[in-house]
Amino acid sequence: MRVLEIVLFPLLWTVKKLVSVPAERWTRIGVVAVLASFAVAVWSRFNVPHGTLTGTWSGDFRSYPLLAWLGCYIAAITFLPLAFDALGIATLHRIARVLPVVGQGALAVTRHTLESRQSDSGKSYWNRKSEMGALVATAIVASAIVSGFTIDRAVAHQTDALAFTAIVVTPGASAGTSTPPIGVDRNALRPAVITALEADPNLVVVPYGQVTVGPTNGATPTAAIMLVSPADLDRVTPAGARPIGLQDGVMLSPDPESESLAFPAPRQVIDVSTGTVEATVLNRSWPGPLTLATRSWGEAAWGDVPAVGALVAYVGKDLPAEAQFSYVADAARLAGADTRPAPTLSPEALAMLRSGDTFARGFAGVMSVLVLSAACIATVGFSVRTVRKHRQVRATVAALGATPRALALAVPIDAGITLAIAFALGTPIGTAAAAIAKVPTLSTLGAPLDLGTTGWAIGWNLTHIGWGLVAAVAGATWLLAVAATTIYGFRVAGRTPVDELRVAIKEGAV
Amino acid sequence: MTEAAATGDTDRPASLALRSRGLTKTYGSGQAAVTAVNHVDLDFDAGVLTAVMGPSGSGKTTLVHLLAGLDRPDAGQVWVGDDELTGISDAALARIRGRVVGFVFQGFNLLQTMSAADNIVLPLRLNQLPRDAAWYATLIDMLGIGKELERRPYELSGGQQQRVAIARALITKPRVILADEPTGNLDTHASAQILSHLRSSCRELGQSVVMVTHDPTAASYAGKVLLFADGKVSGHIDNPTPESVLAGLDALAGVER
Repeated sequence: MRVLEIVLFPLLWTVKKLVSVPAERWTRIGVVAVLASFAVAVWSRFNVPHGTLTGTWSGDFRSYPLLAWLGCYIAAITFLPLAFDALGIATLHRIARVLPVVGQGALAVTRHTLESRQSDSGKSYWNRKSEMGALVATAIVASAIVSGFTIDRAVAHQTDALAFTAIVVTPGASAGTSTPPIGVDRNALRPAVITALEADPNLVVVPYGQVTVGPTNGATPTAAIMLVSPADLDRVTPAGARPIGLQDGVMLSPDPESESLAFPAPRQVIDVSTGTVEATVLNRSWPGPLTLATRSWGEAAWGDVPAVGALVAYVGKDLPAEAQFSYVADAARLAGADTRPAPTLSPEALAMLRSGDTFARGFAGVMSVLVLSAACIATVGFSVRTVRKHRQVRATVAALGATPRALALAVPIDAGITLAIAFALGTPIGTAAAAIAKVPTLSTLGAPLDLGTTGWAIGWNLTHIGWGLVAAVAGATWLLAVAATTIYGFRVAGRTPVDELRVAIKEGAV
Repeated sequence: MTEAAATGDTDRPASLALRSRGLTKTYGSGQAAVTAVNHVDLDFDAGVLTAVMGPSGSGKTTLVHLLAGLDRPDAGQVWVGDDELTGISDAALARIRGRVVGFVFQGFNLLQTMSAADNIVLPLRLNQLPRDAAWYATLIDMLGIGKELERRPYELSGGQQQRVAIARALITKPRVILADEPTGNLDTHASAQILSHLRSSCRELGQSVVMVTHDPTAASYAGKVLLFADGKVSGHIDNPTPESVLAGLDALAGVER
């Protein structure tokens, strides 16, 4: 909190000077500001489109959703430590009361220091330190960053698992080409072909329909949308494309080059034949070259959409890629259909997606180290203050027979328990926050929001968090902090009880 | 107690509970150096309550801290029974502090987060000593704190807190008890009770008690009074009364003047 105060001091000082408000009202003002920011953010979520594919933030850019979210983040940083401080202190007190006073004094001192820790929630905001709350907040941030990174990694693996061997189409059809005719493609693949392919246990078949949208004036290129049933994709890999964000009203665009996938507006897919429908486009590394949407959404907009082809994945015994393609091609030829190469991303798109992954990994790594360092420094600072505050107790316990080693170990034990509680409280909150924030459509402005789908996505994220990495970062932070406080503990344990008391008197702690 | 400096005797008689030779402690350095205890040789008999008196800043508190092993002397030696406190490791010194010496602080120094009962048995836990239920009951009964055992120190009066502190000092049955103005924060009635308890522990338990005090009435409970000035022993009074202690202090002041 001190760091935050120092960083924000010029702004806070200016606000306090300019606005003559009694100190006790600042908390109420803060709460009102938080609620207002949150309300605007939620309202924006449902009522503001999030930009255009042809120029993100151009045209209908609105700044207030961004400002509202910024307000929410500042509020979280400012107020959450206060809330978690009281919770953390109460937890420490409960731990202290069950701590056995055994050994040579370390646990006796620790029990006292933990139970003596007081929340400063009764003080005015400006006089609060909220050290425990700051530690919990640090644990939240650390676990949220690591959890978020591992969820991204799981989504990337999910995307990679949606790989197909080939596309099977009606002979002479134009599957995957960039300039299909506008409107619903009615050149249906014979059901017998699909039935024949589905009968082969070595193949997974995902039938798809296709609709091509775009204005008639020719000023903007048209775009083709591939319509599939999410349940069919589930047979390729469990959960299919839903973790990537596929749901009714959402289109997954794999191409990071927005110019090559140009719609007039993000939520308005203009169809020359039926008028206007709305969808939210998410840039996702779905491995097909076409934009992906659900068949149910497409049929709600354009009526019946026949299957014009099938994405086929070979799932039999291990074969080279060429042999897999040949296997599918043979099966398709026998069924009376053509085979095309499987859809793949362009090298540029792949490179961009990989660079995004690399950046995310690097960002998570750097942030983890920063948060880890911050937690260690905060814990050592916490220990220094604890020792100073309890010199008299340390001297008393030493006079009663506690060994210098026990007094030294009391410092890391106190710090270890404190940090463990901070992580025990902060990690579930941080991971839950990451699981919620990583739902593809939850915070996307204007995206459809279905509670069942959102709940399922949160559950999927939670089950795909890399708990090992979260535990490793928390464990490394804990170990480093305990090591640092152990060194400090032994440095201050060499004093005689009288020296300790004398220092305490000098420091005004007695 | 005898002032061994007069005889130069360094052999320990069987009845000695505590002794020092050449005990010296200086604070600060250079021109700011203050010698709080200056080459002090002392012998304390077992089963005797000894009061240490002297003007403020004479070094009384430093003396009992050194005798209790709470501080390291710059020179000299201290023995508690056969155990020499100087020149041993910190761990060994801690062991002696916990098992052989009991210390009563002027400010009680009870742990506010523990009940009175937990404070009393804390030395047993710290030193892995078994709890003698009969002795515990005797102490509680002797000090009259049976109703206060489950209360926290901040819920007790000053007299009750000091009785808990004395019980804590006695619970390990130490050979020597050192007390730094144990009645300094108490009213007359509470002081009398505390001093009676300390005297009882000497007579009935054979423990040696060394008590720093400014109060001639408190000193009159002692078997002997040691007069201390400028870091040195200036004299002693056997079988003191308040009047004889006052006279001794007056004489000490006259010497200082």
